[in-house]
Amino acid sequence: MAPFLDLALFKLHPLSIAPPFKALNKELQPPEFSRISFLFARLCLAKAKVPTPFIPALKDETIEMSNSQGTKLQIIFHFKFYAPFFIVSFEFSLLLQPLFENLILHRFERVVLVFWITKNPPFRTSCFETKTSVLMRNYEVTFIVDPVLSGGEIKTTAQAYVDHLQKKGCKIVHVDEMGLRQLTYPIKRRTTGVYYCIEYEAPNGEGIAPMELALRRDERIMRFLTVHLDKFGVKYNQDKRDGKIGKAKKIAKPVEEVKTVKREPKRPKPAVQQPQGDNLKRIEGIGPKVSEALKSAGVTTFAKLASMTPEDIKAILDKDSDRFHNQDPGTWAKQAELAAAGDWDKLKAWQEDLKTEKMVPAKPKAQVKTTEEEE
Amino acid sequence: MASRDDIKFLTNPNIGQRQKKYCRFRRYGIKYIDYKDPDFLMQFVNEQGKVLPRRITGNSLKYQRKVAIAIKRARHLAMLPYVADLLK
Repeated sequence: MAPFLDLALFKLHPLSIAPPFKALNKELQPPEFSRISFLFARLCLAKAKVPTPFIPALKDETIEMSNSQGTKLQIIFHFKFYAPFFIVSFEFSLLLQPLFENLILHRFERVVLVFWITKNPPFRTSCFETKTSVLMRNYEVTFIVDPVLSGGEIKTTAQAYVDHLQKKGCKIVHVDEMGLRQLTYPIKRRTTGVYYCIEYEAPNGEGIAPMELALRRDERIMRFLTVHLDKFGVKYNQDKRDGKIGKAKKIAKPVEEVKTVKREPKRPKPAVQQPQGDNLKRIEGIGPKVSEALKSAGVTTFAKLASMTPEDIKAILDKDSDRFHNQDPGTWAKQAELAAAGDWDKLKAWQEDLKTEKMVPAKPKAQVKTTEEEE
Repeated sequence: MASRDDIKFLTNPNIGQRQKKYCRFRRYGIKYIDYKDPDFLMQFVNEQGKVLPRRITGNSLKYQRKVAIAIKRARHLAMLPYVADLLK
C-alpha cells in the first residue's frame, strides 16, 4: 500500500468538480468506474457540508466492486483533518488482469480532494491526482573496501550495506565477493582492494540515494558504482551464476563471453546422423543406403556387424525397406570382422575377389562360400 | 583475347586480402557487456589503455558505445587503467 502522502508535498490547483473525474487510469475508461468515482465525489461533497460526522463515518473504509468485465476496483478512503481544510483521499486499486491477459498489475491511483471549510457554501475544492505505481528495477552496486582492515571488519562492512538495503525494502538477488584484487592505479595510496558486488531489486529506486550517501561517507569504502541493470544484464548475471557463460578461448570467437554450453541444447543433432561409428561402406556390398539402414537399426561399428548372422542382417534390411531384397549380406559379417580387426589389406584383397565374382552371376558361388564360412 | 576463365594462377590471388570484419556482438548474439570483466574488455583497448576505434575492432555503433561505457566503468573501478604503457 502506498503510504499516505503529506499535504505539504502537493501543489494545489483549482479544478472544477464537474466530471470527467480525472482520477482514473487514462488508458482504460470503463464507463462504470468514472461514474462511480463521480458518485463518490458527489457523495463526499454532499456530506462535506457537515464535516465532523463525515470524518469518522468514512475513515479508512474500503469498498470493493467489480464490473462486468471482471476488472476489480478497490477504493480505500483516507482522512486527514487540517483546519481550515480537510482532505479526503481515495486510493484506487485496479486489478487489470482481465483486460491485459497476462499482466497482473495494480495501479494505485490516489485522488485527493481538499475541502476548504468556509463560512458560505458551496465549498471550493481542489482535486489533484498522483500515481504511485511500483516499478521494480534491478540494480548492481560494486564497491571496493579498504584491504588494510581485518577480514572480519571487511565482511561486516559489506554486511552492513546488505542489511541497509534490506531495511529499505530491496530484495537482494546476489552478493558477490570478488575478493582481493590488484588495482590498476593506486586509490588513496592503496594498491589492492576487496571488491564486493551486490545485485538487488529496488521498488522505484528508493533505496539507492541513501545507500550511495552512506557509501560516500564511509571511510572504509574506497570506490563504489551503482548501475541500473537492464533485462539483458539481469539475464547475463543469471547465466553467469548458473555457469552457462563458458570460458572458450578460441580465436574466432570472443573470449569468455560465448555461451558455448548454452548453445548446444538449441541445436540437437538428429538421431539418424551418427557421426560416430565406423564407415560401413568400406564393406563390399554395403552402399550409402544400406549403411544408413544399418546405422539407424543400431549397427554402427564393424564389431557389431561382425557379430550378426546374415539372416539378422537381412531381417534388418527387409524391415527397413523393400529395395534391399536384392542384397546378399552373406559375406558382410566376415568382412566386418576383418575390418574390426584392422586387417585392411586382407579385406581389400578379398573384396577384389568379391567384385570380380559379382560380374559373373555368382550367387551359387557366394552361397557356397557362406556355407563354408559358417562351418 | 583470353577470357576470364582462361587465366589460371599458380597461387591464389586472394591470399593476403583482408578478412571481412564483422561485429562480434551481433554475430554471436551477445547483448550485454559486463564491465566487471577486464579480460574481455582488454580486446577493445590498445597498449596504452585507450579505447580502440570502431573501424579497427569492427563493432557496430550500438555495441561500440556499450563497450566504451563498460570500459569507462571498469576504469572507475580500477579494473582497467586510465593511462598505461605496455598493457598488452
